[in-house]
Amino acid sequence: MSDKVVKKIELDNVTFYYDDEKVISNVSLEINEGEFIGIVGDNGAGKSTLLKLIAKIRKPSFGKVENNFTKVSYLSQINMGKKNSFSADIREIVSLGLKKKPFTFMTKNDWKKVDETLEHFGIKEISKKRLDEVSGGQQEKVRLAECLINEPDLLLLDEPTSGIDIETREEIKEHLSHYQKRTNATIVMISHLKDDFPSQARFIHLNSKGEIIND
Amino acid sequence: MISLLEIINPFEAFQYSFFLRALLVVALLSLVLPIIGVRLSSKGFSMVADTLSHTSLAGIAIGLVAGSMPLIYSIIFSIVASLLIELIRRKFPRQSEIALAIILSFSLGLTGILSKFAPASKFESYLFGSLFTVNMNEVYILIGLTAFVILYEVMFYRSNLAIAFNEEECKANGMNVILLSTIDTIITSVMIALASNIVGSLLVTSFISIPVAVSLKTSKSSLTCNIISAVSSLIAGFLGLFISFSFSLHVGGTIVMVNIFILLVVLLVKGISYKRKRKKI
Repeated sequence: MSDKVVKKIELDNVTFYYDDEKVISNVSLEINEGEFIGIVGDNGAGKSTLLKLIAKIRKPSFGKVENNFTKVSYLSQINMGKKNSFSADIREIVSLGLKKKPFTFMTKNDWKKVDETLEHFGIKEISKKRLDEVSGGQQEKVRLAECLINEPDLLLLDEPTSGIDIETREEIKEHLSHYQKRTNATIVMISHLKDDFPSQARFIHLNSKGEIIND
Repeated sequence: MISLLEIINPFEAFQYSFFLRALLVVALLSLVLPIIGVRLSSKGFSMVADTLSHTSLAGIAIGLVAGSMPLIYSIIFSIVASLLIELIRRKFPRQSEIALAIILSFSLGLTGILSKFAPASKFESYLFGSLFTVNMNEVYILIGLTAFVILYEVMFYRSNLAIAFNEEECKANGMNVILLSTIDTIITSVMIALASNIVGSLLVTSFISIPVAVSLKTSKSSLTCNIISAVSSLIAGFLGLFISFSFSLHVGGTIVMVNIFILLVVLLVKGISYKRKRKKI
């Protein structure tokens, strides 16, 4: 028998209240290693909350969330409103994906990896700019590069393609598909557009009450 | 009356030990306060510094009325206020701006009431401060604190930047964001309270915010941002000291004015170069 720990996510009867409002209602699900999961549903159905529960950013009001992935990356919905006062340039932002704990410092090799990642995502030429100086599509590629540079085994993405041009959307889709094939990582992604998901994706539908609809 | 010779010979100032002490204090503050300012502004908390320097004033007022240790009271008061700000920001993120305004008003209101019972002259020195009356003990405290804060900023640089960039991602990575933010809040509030005690809250607020605005306009990376804000506040501090010495002006107020003057020049130059670029396009 192999000693390898089976990585998976399990939600058991999870309910989540935001203030007095029930956002997620009795959700049970299982996600296995190497799966590509699409979370879909109407606006306000609780998709982002479900992703945050999986990421353990929020704790459930009732029920249990288990997630034994060790390297987790989470991409929140884009909100660059306050980022015009952010001091770092794009190269430094991407480097945060490698080292972000206290008492950590970048080595020469780390910076080499950052530069390779910038090249891979086609954002090398904007690496000396600040995030508020580039287009929405480029911002999204920067954020994705920051999430992927550390090669996570679980990637959680909250609408990474919302509000950006078709060309960049296709590029992001390709990056994700390529990354998953190479690393067998698990990807859970929210999007309004089914076109954004690769063909192997399995879907979780949420209705407006925050319940899972079984197809 | 000031003679003409005195006005045009600011180098005479170097003869006086109080002036040299003031230069040293300005150099230390220029190193440490803008670094805190850059970090606060990256987090979107520019107003926090202003609020904390005023809450420390309320602490000082309590100390003066109680008749002992205004420094300790102001540190405690600032820590409590900063933790309260952090708590409100986490529990009620949409109300965090208004929470700052309420804590600021509360502190100023309390200070106003208490100032009636405190010796007026002492109180004014805490509000506006005077760099020329700083004593050697206070200089030693500032040196120690500057060294500590710079060490902290270097060791926690990446985690603070990552939390400022995307707090939720850090949580998903398993970082203890609440603990790190609390440490950050306490260190920031202690530094602001101590500096406000020594040089007055007016100067602290200006050193923490105006050079940061200058550097955000002129730099792109964190390193250059920190360097430019430090250099800009150093220039403002030294120029302000010489001008106030030469013309017998209030030293804190003069430094603030020079700081603002530098910011206006930078904005003007930036504005002109932006227009030129647009014309070329």
